[in-house]
Amino acid sequence: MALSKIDVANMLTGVTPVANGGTALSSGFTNGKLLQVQHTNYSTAVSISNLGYETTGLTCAITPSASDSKIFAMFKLQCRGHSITSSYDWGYSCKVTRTGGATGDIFEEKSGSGESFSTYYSADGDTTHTSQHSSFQFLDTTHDTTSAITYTVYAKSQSASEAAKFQDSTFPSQFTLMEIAA
Amino acid sequence: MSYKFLSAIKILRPNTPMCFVGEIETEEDFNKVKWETGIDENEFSITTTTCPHSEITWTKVSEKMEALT
Repeated sequence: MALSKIDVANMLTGVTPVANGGTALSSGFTNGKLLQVQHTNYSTAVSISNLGYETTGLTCAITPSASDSKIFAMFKLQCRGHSITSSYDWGYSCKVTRTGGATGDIFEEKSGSGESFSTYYSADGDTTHTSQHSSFQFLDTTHDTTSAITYTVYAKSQSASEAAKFQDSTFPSQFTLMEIAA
Repeated sequence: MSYKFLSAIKILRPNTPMCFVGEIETEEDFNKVKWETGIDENEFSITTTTCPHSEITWTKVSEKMEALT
C-alpha cells in the first residue's frame, strides 16, 4: 500500500494555485465583502386583480452598515391563475418600493400593455389553471443611508377578470437581501 | 374558497379589479375586500372597502358561491 506524505510546512506557508481553486497569493488576501444577509419567507395568500399596483404582502428589511454599500436583492413570487378562460389573459407585472431610510421605486418588471406583462399566460381553449414561481433580482446602489429600509413587492394584474393569487395554498414567496461592501 | 369567490365575481361583474388577503368565506371577509376605484400617478391602486358596484353585494356573491359548490 502506497503511503502519502503531507507537506505540513508548505501547507502553512505555501500558496494554493488558482488551478486548484486557490488565490495563488501568500499574503494580502482580503476578507469577503458580503456584509449581511436578510431573508423573508411569506405564505399568506393575497389575490390581486387590480390594474394598479397593490402589495403582495412580501417584504424584507435591512439596516445597511454603510451608506455607500450595495444591496443585492432576489425575490421569488409564487402565483396561481385559476379558471382562466379564452375570454381573458392572465399575468402580472411587479415592482419593488422602498420605505424607511430610502424611499421610492427601485425595481419594476413590466412593459406597456398587452402581452408584455412580465409574467403572462394566455388561454386559447377551455378553462385553464396555472401555478408558477417567478424569480426577479435587482441591485440597489442608491440607498445612501444606514437607517433601516423595507423593500415591498407590489403587483398588478393583466386583466381585472383574472386574478393573480400570490402565495396560493400557503406556497411561500421569498425575499433575500444581501449587503455588499462598496 | 377564494376561487369560488373570484368565479362568483367574474359571473356577477366581469372585469372588476379588486384585491384581498386570505380567503373570502363570510360577510366579514367580504367587507375587507379592497375594490379598485382608480390608479394614482405612481401606478398604485386607489381602493375602497365599500363596494362601489351595485351588481356585487354579499347576498348575491354568497348565492353564486353556493351555486358553484
